[in-house]
Parts: sequence; structure tokens; C-alpha cells
Amino acid sequence: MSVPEVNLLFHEPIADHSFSADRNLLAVARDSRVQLYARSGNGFALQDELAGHDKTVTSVDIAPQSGKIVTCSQDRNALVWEPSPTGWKPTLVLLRINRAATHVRWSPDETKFAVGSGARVIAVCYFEEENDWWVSKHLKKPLRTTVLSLNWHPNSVLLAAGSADAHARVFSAFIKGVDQRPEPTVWGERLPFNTVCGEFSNSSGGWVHSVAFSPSGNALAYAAHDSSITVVYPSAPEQPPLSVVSITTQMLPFTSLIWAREDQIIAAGHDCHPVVFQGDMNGGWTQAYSIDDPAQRQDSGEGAESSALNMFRQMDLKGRTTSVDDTNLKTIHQNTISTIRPYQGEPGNVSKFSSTGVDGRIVIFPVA
Amino acid sequence: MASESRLYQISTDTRARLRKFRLNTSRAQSAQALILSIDKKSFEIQPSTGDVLATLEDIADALPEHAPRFVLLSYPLTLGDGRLSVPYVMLNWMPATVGSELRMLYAGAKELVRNTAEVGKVLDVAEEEDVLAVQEVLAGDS
Repeated sequence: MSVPEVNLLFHEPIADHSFSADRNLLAVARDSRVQLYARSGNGFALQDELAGHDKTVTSVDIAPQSGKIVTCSQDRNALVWEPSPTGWKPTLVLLRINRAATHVRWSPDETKFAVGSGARVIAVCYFEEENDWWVSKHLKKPLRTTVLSLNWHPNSVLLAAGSADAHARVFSAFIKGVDQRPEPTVWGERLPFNTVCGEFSNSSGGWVHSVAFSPSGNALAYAAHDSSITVVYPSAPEQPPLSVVSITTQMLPFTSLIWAREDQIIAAGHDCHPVVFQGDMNGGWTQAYSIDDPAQRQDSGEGAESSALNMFRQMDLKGRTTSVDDTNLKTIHQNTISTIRPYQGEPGNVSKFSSTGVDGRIVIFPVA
Repeated sequence: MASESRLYQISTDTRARLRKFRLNTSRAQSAQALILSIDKKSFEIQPSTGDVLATLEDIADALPEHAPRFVLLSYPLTLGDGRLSVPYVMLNWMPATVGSELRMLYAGAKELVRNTAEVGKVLDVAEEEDVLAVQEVLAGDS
């Protein structure tokens, strides 16, 4: 059981973060810039800054193979940054949206990326060779609210989206000429662009903050604002799903979730520490344990301070008689965790994951 | 107009083909269309397909999704009062995803092509639905 690696980057919220494939480069969204940090020893050193957006950057993603960085922002634009000997060169992508972009992710094969927006549209963008230009196609029906999060299926054609109308949907983002015809999956066979392969809702009407396909792609999990995690196992296209398992918790809502294994989900959110859920289709899902559990954090450090001297010092300085420190949270993160992403391990067996939050820290947690 | 004819080239073969297309299609039974594109390097305006397109659906399929084209269309219609009319129009296909360089290239050539082909009207189409709706537009205007 290894110790989590904590780094306080700065005292500002981090909207999103992304590591390069070799984990030596970290891209972090900081207000309207994206800062690139390089690994140095146990910490990170600021290497470069990408300043192309006018408003807050809402999402960053680094493509593992090609190394390109895509960023999207509230200024309704997305930029693709390519590494060059003289620094990073941005290319503007015309998304044709009239509201902020909220989330961006590269597809697993890195030929396209999807941008969720407040314009009730998901822009699926790909590079057109003959015009040397990034082009976007819109997924419109049946979205009627802001898209809060996106996740690609391993086949790079299916896209899951969580929106503010309490629905998680699976779309087909098949682009003729860019994608190969995918193998049939439980989600569907012939999938023209903008087919809705599945639509699932949250019964309490809570916004769906995060969606994720399982490593095999045969199940979908989503976290909603009523503090629940729902796992859907579809059976066949146009058929009701095999099972829909919902786990409600007594915790604060989760904002981000990932699959560590086919039978293990990690979620984190407003409680500032990650929680692990385990289960499967037949046995159901349960909340297994918390990582960085605040209840288990013994204040062994603070206990030693409860001497008489300290008591009088606290009375003098802060006017209180106890020496309990109530200005810091007991968890490592001091504020909401906004994003967690796999850090180490293959897609079906994640051993470590990284998390960033509103407190400006980046923490790498081990799963066990 | 003069400056465009110095920049864009239309070969005599193309001119002859356009003339033949205009004259031969006025008595045709079915719709006929010819798609023109501009070569980015030589600025030559040339046909990009043979004129075998007979329906609006075929035209919509043949048009590239992210590049502009000019379509010369001869479309026989029967008007509301029974008359047969075969309007000869140009469709200016300009999807929303086209970049500004190509937009300027085709916008500059639009008047030149219109005058060389001697069409009656120019319709701006940006999406597949606009192409399919051309029939209503032509019937409504005549």
C-alpha cells in the first residue's frame, strides 16, 4: 500500500488536468491559460504556458500517441496544440457553437475529439486532409441542455454524454471517411452519425456529472447530483438493458468517476476524497471503501500538541480553549475534487489514478 | 469582373461544355446537373464530375461535405397553372464548415461563373436540406 503523492501547484482551482503517455508532462488548466509541468524528482516544475484562450479553460486532454493537446474554453473555441521545436503551435478549431465549451476528450484512436458545450450540442471534430483544416460535425438531437461530460467507447465510434437534464446518453459519432466500420457491440450495429444508442436517466432529476464506459465497453456508469452512481448493462440495441444498478450514498455528490477494473469503479467529488465501488452485473454493486478516508485519519500529529502550553497559546492567539484544528479538512484535498484520471496500469487494471481539484493540488492515489 | 477573369482560368473546352450544357438541356425531360470546382493551385474552374446527375438526391450525395462547389442545374418543372418550365440556375454550395480561404476563392469566382454559364438565378445552399428544397424554391418563384 503506497502513500499518495501530493503536490500543491498553485492556489487556484484546477478545472481539468491531463498527463502525457509517459507521465512526464502534466497539462493543467489554470484560469484562461494551460500550464505545462514537467516531472522533476518527486514534484513538478513549470515548463511552458499555453495562452490562447480569452476566457476560462474548462477542459484539457493530451493524446497519448501523437502528443497533441486539445483545450476548450468558455470563449466557445477549441484549440489543438502541436509540439514544434519553437514551442507549442495552436490551431483554432471552428466549433460553430454559441455557448461555452465544457468538456473535450480525444477518441482512443486520436483521429477525432468531441467537445461538449452549453449550446446543447456536441461537436465531433476531425482533420480534413484535403482542406488542411479541422472540421466539426454536430450531435444535436435529442440534447436540450448543457453537456457536462463525455467519454469515448474503446471502439472510437460510440460516445457517452452526461447532461444537465439528468440523462446519460450514448451516441454514435461515426464519421464516414475517418472511421472504419466498427464491430457490432451490445450498443448497436449499423450506426450512422447521431444515432442514439441508449438513453438513461437519473430518477431524482440530478445533473449527470460524469459518465464512463467500462474497460470492455459493455457497461456504462454515470454519477449524478443525487449522490448516486448508476451502472447500466445493455443487452442489445433497441432492447431494454440487462440490468440497471443504482447505488445511492449518503455522501456529497460525485463529480468524476473512472473504472479501475471491469468490477471496480472509483468516484470522487464534493467530499474531497475518492471512494471505491465494487460489484458486477449479477451480484449488484456496493460501496466498498474510501481512499484517504477522513474518518480513519487519526490526528496523531495534533494529539501531541494538546499540552497545557499549547492550550494557553491557542487561547491567546485564537481565543479558543481546545486545540482542534478546524481550519483544514482531514482529507488530502482541501476542496472538491473536480477530475480523476487513470495514471498507472492498463485500461482494464488501473493501479494508480491522479486527481485534481478546486484547491489547486494534484494527488496521485494508489487504488488499493 | 475584369480582375476575376485575370485570376481564374476557364479553358475553352470548359466554356464549350458549359455552352453545350445550357443549350441541350432546355428540352430535357429530367433534371441535369453539372458540378464545377476550382483548382486551388492553378485557379482553374473545371467540371468535377460528368453530368450524369439526374435528381436532387444525387446532387446532394455528390457534393463534398466540407468544400464549396458550383452546381449548374437545369430542372424541368410543371408550374401550378400547367405550364412546363425548365429553369437554368446555379447553386452556390457553401457549407458552414468551410474555411475562409476557400470561401474567398469561390466568392470571387461566383460572378464570373454566373456570367460565363449565363444562368438565370443563383441560389445559395449551405446544407443537404437546402439542396433538396431547391424544387420548392424554383416552383415558388416562377
